Amino acid sequence: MAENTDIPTKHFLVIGKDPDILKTVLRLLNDFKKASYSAVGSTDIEEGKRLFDQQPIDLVLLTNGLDEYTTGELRSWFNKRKPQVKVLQHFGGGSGLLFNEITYSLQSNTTDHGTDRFA
Amino acid sequence: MAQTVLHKASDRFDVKSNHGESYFSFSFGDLYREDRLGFGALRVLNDDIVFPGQGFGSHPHDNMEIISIVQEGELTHEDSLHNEGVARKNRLQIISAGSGIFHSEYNRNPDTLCRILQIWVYPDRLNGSPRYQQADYTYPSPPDQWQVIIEPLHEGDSAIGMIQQDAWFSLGNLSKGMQIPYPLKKEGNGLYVFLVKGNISVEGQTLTTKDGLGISGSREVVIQALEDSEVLLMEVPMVKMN
Repeated sequence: MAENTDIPTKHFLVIGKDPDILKTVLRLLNDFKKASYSAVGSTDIEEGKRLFDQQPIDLVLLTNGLDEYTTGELRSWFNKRKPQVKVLQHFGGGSGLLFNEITYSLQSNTTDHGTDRFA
Repeated sequence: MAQTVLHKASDRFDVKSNHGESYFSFSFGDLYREDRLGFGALRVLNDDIVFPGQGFGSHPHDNMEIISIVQEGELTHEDSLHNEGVARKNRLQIISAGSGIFHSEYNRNPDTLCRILQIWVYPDRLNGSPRYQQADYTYPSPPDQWQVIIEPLHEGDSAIGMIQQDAWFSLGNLSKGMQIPYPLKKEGNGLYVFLVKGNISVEGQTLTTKDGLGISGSREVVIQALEDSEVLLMEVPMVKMN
């Protein structure tokens, strides 16, 4: 994890069904050099909810394998528990759009991104 | 009334690395501009040069339609579904990443560059079945007409590239002086015109090589060739994903 003392670390929770893709996304976030990011994640939804409750989370990334119903349920659940936490649908599976999506989400005022198209 | 957005070739992101050089029409990787987040469902348009013997090791994708159009050389693909293939100038490659796929791609030739357009389009649904396709097309395109090279998967012509989105890509090999109309195939879609080579006029804008022009709110777009030109048209839904 790249710690930058000037800018507070942003904490991410990543949930996705493919363990190898999840591992890749977590590695990309934790190794990112241009900002201070810290990421935890799970392929298990209940474990993801526990992490959300137990850890400081600024942004949730929903990745591959979550069906549209589950995605909607998760968004509602997170929003009820901590409405200030942003929930982001990650597309592309790797580094291509990951940091763009995060930058856009952190700079905007809304809390849901990228999932309305499939709701 | 048509709305347009012009992206000049000189205003693309320029990235150099050990394995190649890239020009991004839209924000990609850790390069970000809020005014460059795509055009409707078209999110990525990368003009990549892969050096001889170089490439990209195994890496994941999900929920994205990835089209590779080779402009020069060859690109060798392998993926976690055990597909192998070589894309070249008259054979495009499509990855419907769906619920997830790992792949690698290399320029295996030790002597020549590979130059590809790598294009990402958001799918119209999440977590479809991952899919790999190669589709042949005529290169150079027949003169002064549009050759469809990508169409929606549900239209089902396996001879043409197919993606999980209501999008159509066409190539044009236009002769100097010709004006060729492109009627959009679906109401509400927009058209992104990428000039591979040459000099054209579209909607009152003059485009030179590697310029891009997005057009929305129009049912037909007329492309006028000011020189002999190669044009890539990308018709996509004007969805906003971010």
